[in-house]
Amino acid sequence: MGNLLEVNDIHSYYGSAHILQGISLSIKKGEGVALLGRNGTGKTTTLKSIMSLIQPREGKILYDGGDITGLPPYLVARKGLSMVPEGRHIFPALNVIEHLRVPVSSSIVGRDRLLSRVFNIFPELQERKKQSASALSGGEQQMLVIARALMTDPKLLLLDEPMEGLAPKAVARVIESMGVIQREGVTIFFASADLERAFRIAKRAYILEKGRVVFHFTEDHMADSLEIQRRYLGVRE
Amino acid sequence: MTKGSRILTTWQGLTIVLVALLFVCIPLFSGSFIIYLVTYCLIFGIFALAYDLFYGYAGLVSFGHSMFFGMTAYSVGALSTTLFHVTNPLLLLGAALAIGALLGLLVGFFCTYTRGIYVALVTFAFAQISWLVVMVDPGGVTWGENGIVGVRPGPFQMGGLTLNLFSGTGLYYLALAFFVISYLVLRAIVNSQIGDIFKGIKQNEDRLLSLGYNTRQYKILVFVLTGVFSGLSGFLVVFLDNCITPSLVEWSVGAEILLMTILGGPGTLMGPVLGVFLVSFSKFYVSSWLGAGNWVYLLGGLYIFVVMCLRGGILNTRIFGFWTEKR
Amino acid sequence: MIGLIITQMLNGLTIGLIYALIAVGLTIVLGLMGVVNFAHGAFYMIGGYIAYTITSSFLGNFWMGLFIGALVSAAVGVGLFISIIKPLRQRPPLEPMVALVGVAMIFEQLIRTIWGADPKLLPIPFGRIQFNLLGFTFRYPIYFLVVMIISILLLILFYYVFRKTDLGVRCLASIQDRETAMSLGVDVDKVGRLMFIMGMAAAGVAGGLAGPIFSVYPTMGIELIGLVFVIVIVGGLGSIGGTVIASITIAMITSLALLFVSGNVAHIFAYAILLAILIVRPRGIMGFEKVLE
Repeated sequence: MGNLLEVNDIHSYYGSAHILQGISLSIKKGEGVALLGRNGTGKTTTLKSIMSLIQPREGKILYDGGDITGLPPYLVARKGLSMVPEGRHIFPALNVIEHLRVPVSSSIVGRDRLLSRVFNIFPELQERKKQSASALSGGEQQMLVIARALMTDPKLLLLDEPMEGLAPKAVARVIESMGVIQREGVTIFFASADLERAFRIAKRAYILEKGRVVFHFTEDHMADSLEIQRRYLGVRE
Repeated sequence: MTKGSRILTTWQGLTIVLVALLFVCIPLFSGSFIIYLVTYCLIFGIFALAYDLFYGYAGLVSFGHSMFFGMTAYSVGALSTTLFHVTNPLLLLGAALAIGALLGLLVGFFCTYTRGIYVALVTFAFAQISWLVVMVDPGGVTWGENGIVGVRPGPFQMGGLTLNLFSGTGLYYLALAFFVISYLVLRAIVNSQIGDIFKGIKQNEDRLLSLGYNTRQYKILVFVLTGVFSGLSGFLVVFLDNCITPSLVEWSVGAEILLMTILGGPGTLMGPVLGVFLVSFSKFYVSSWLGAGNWVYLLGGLYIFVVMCLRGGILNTRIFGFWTEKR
Repeated sequence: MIGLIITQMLNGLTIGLIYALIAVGLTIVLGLMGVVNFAHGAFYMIGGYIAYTITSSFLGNFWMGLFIGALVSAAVGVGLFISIIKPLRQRPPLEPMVALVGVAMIFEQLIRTIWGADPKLLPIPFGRIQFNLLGFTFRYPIYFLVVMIISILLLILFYYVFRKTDLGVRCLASIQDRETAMSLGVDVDKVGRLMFIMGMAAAGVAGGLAGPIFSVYPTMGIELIGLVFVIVIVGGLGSIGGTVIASITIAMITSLALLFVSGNVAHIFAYAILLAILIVRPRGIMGFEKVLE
C-alpha cells in the first residue's frame, strides 16, 4: 500500500474535446513506469493533468497521501512532482546555469547540493555551464531539461517522450541517467511511443488508446511484447 | 457550418422593421435636440455595425478604427472644400467609401503579417499616424488644428426632385436610411457562407486553414468591409456639425466604439448599436447633470465595469438568446 | 550648427534615458503577463505630480519628491496589478486593454480634479555647466547630466536584477515559456507582481525627473503612451537591452528631426519605424522569438 501517485478516473478536455475518458493508474515509490500509446491517444494530456497544467474536470489525483487535484502547477511542483515536457522546451535566451537556477524547490536540500548532484549525473552540463541553451545539441538539451527538472528535488519525475528525436548515443545517455536517478530514489513515470525502448527503463507500463487505459503491461507479458507492440503501438492499418 | 442560410431570421426581420418604423416617427414628436442626438446615434450606429463585423464576428482586434472613420470624413472635406470644390453628394459619398476601402486594404495588408497583440498595436500605430498627418496638414489638405468648416454639398437632386438631406431632419432620415441599408447588408453577409468563414476565423483559424481556406484573403476582406462602412459613417458625420476636426481621428474614437460594442454585446450587430445609444444618451444627459469632469469618471468606470463584470455584453446574455440565435 | 546638433543629441540622450525608464516596466509586464498596460502613462504622471507637490510644499526637497513619487507609483501599481491586471490575464488581449483605458481616463481626470488642468512648473535644480567640445563652447544644464546619470544607474540596477538574481532569471524564463516555468515551481503571478512594482517605480521616477524639463500636466501620460509602445515593440518585448537601445535611438532621431521639421512629423517617423520593424523583424531588436502570441 501507499502509492506515491494515484490517479482516479480523471477526465480531461482540450477545449471541448474529451481527451481523457476516465484514466486510472497508480505508481509506487521507487518504480519506473511507462505510459505507452500511439500519438494522439492522450499521453501528454495525462502527464499534464497530473502536473495540473491541464485541470481535469472530473476525478482525483492523490500524491504522497495528499489530494493535489486542482492545485496550481507551481504548487504541485513544489510538492515534489516535476515534469520534463515533450520537445524539450528550453529557455532559448538562458544559459545552462541559469536554467538550473529557475526551478523553485521546497526541499530541505540546499541549492548547492542539488546542483552538484545534477552535475554528477550530467558531467557534460558542468563543462558547458555558461553556454546558451540554444547552442547545445539535441541530446545535451535533453540532459539539460532533465537536470532542470531535478532541481526541484522531486520524488516523482514525469517525462514526456524523453527519447524521441535523439541520436542513439543520446538515447543511451538518457537511459543511463534514468537508471542513476532511480537508484537515487526518484520515482519515474514517462510517456513513450516505443515499447522496446521504454522497457529499458521501466518495469511495467500502462497502454492508452483513445483516452483510456486499455492494457496494463508487466514483465510477465514480455513474451507477447511484439504482438502487443503491433496491436497497440504499431501503425494503424 | 450552416446549410442554406436565410438572410434574416424571423425575429431579426421583425426587429428591424419595428425599429425602422419607430425611428421614422421620432422626428414627428421631438424637438431639434433629440433629432440631433438620434442622428448622432444612427451615424455612430453604422460605425458600430462596421466594428461589430470586424471584432464581434471575425474576432479581429483593432484600436485604430478612428482612422477609417476620421480619414474618410477628411477625404470628403478635401474633395469639397480644401483641395477641390466638388459639390455632388454622390461623388462625395463614393469617395468616402472608396477611401474607406483603400485604407482597409492598406491596414489589413499590414496586419496579416502580424498576429495577436501586435495586430492591435499596428492598428493603434495607424490611428496615431493618421492623427499626426491631420495635424501636420501636408499641402493644406486638412487645415490642421482648426479643422475644416463650411462643407456644403449641393442638395440631392434626382429627376426634378430636390431634397435637402444634409442638415436637420433631412440628415436624420438620410442617416436612418443608410443605417437600415447597412444593417440589412451586413446581416446578409454575416448569415451567409462568407459570414460563416468570418466566424470561423474568430473561433478556430487553424482549422479553417487546414480545410484549405485562404484566411489571409478573408481577413483582408473584413478589413475592406469595415473600412467601407466606417467610411459611410465618416461621410455622414461631416454634416452633423458641418465641420471636420482632428477630434475625429483621435484614437479615443476607436476606443469608444470598442467600449460601446463590448457593452452592447459583440457578435449581434444590434448589440453595439444599443451600446452606442446607451453611451451617447448618457454622455449628453449625464454630463449636463453631473458636469463634464464627473462624466469622465463614469465613462472610465464604465470601461472597467464592462470588461470585468459584463462578460458578453448586454445582448449576449441568455435572455436575448432567441434574438441572436447564433448560427 | 554643429553646436545645435550636439545639443540636440545630448537632449535626445537625456530624453531617451527617461523614456527607457518608462518603457522598461511596460515591456516586462507585456512580455510576462501579455497585457498591454494602457494605463502605464498614469504612473509616469503620478511620479511627476507627487514630485511637484513635495518640491513645492514646505518640505521643498526635489530628491525626496522623486523618491516618494516612486513609492506612490509602486503602491498604486500593486493595487492595479491585483485588481485588474492579474484577473484579466487569461482574457483575449483586447479586453484588459479596454479596462486599462478606463483606468487611464480616471487617473487623468483625478489629476485634473486635484491639481487643475494647467501645467505645473518644477524649477530646474543646479545651473549650467560650461565645457569645451570639439572646439566649441557649450553651456549645458547640469541637471540634464544628472538625469542621465540617475537613469543609467537605475537601468543598470534593473539589468542586474533581471540577469543576475533568481527573481530576474525566473522572470526571463516565464516570459519565454510560461507553462514550463510554472511546472518548475515558479509562481509567475508573484514574479509578475514584483517586476511590475519595479517597473512602476521606475516610471514614477521618470515622471519626477521629467518634471523640471517638461513640467507636469494632466495629459502627459496619455501623450507619451503611443511613443512608449513604439519603443517597446521596436526594442523587443521583455528585453531591457532592446528597450534602452530603442528608447535612445528613437529619442535622438526625433530630437534631431526637430531641428528640421515639426514635432508631429518627427513622431510620424517614429511610427514609420514601428511599422517597418513589425514587417521586417516583428520580435524587435532584441526580443525573444517565442513571445509572439
